[in-house]
Amino acid sequence: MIPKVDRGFFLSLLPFAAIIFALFALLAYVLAHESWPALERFGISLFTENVWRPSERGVEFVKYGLLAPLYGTLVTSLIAAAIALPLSVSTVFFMEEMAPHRIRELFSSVIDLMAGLPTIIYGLWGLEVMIPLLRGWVMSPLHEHLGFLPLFACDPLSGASFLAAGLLLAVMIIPFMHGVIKEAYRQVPRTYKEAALSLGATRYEYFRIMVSLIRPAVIAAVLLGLGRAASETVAVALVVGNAFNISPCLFAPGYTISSLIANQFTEASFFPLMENVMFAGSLVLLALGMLFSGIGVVMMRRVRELYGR
Amino acid sequence: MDAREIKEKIFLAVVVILSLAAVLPVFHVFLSVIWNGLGVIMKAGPRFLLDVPPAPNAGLGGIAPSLAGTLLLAVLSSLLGIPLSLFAAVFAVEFPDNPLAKGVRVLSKALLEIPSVVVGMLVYAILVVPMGRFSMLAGALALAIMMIPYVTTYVEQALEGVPFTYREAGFALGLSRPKVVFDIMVGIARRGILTGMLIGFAKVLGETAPLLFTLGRDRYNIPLGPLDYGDSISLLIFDYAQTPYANMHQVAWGAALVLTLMFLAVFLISRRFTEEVFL
Repeated sequence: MIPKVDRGFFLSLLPFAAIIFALFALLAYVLAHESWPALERFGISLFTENVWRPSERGVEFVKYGLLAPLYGTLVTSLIAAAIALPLSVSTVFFMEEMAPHRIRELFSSVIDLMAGLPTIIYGLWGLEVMIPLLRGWVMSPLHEHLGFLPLFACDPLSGASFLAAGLLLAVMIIPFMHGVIKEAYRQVPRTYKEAALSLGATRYEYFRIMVSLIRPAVIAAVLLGLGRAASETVAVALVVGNAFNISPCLFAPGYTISSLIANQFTEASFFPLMENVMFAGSLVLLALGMLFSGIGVVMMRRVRELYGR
Repeated sequence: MDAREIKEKIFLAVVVILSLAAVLPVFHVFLSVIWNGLGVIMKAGPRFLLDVPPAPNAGLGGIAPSLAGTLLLAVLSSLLGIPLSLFAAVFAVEFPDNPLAKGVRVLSKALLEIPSVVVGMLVYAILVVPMGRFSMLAGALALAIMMIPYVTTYVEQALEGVPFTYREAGFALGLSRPKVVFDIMVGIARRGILTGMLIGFAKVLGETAPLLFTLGRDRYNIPLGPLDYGDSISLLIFDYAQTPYANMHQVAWGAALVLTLMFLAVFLISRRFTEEVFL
């Protein structure tokens, strides 16, 4: 209960709090209201089929299925998290245990910079610099020599592909995963570290002990990284190739939910139901993100409880 | 050397290599932006900041409307977002046991989990469609929503970092609660609060996705009012990078350099604040 003298203060701040609540209420309403027509019309097939047949003629001619963008979102995020995990674990260990003070400071500034750099800059770099390099040095050689593997079976035409998007996303989510792992790493009590070292562990063995101590945080980092990667929009839209494509080949162009929205939402109002389909897609994106970050937060709480801080 | 030591040596080498691999791309990004962008801006001269963009295959022109749009949007969204975040954070910190305040604390962080493109769609649905037009106001609202989680986090931390004795001292002088909070606490925590504002500002400077369906992309006129169509540097880069015209790609690189420099400036200023000792 708020004491009487504070009640005026409480009430005068309440409108600002109400705006935050209202934002979420509006979000829930808009997403539910806007995606309902699409869900009602297509049902579960909206997420299990790969069709994109807009029509200006009328609602009975259109058919949509978001399987390809869903697949692309999943594949690019998984590639990103798989690449970013070893890199961010390394940066944490390097900064906390190996680097001299100066270099650690430098690294930490660079990682902050990575986290804040506008995503469109990554996108432009990915499109104009990374893709040509990737195509010339990685994709083409892999395709030529290991083309019999389904992963490398297709010819990298433009270079815009699942792999390009995954790699660019990896660069972009490293700072977030680094941050999550670092926070947990610092919570491991000094005595545990000293115990491991006093038993004569090499730094490799020490590292394995440390990682096992913060395992929930590593899982949390992967989940939060996946969520980040799935929701990234413009950078991916520039490098993923934007094609409704479900292919095991990493060099094939694809789509993600968010890049689909970025590319087509502006024209969507000309076609019946297309906006609704995209709202349904964003609903999935949001649900996935909430799920991942929910589990991630629980995992991080476990680390905090483990080490009592 | 036994096997364990060899393993250790290999492991350490791998860690160093992977750590470098993690940060090298961002250096490459910076060098590419400077290299490509500087060439374009040298060629276009100061007109790059004053002209409108070129037609396809017709020189370099400039990015004046987009630059003005980015600056105006950052200011406008700060005007909307910073007071809201500040008061919401004060609410969360001052009434820690109140369920509403707890809710605000959780929800203002949860905004971070809403994909930025979805924020754009939300504002499109609640503002652009009812008003029947894109506008700077819609863009600024979307950006304001984006900055709330950053600003509230910093402000909450800053306020919570103020020792309780200062609060007690204020009450002992007979000050009212709002006076204690806004004159004493905010004053002491100003550095952290300012950092939060700067981080929020830096964040919205470069955002693209929330603006895709809110701003209208008028890159030939400088927006004069909140209801005008507008553009931002980030949108210009996004669109021009996808055109088939070489000169527009060059404009995109020049714009990328301008945006990166703006971001770096705000970043370095905010760094100066955090490097110094709190309080």
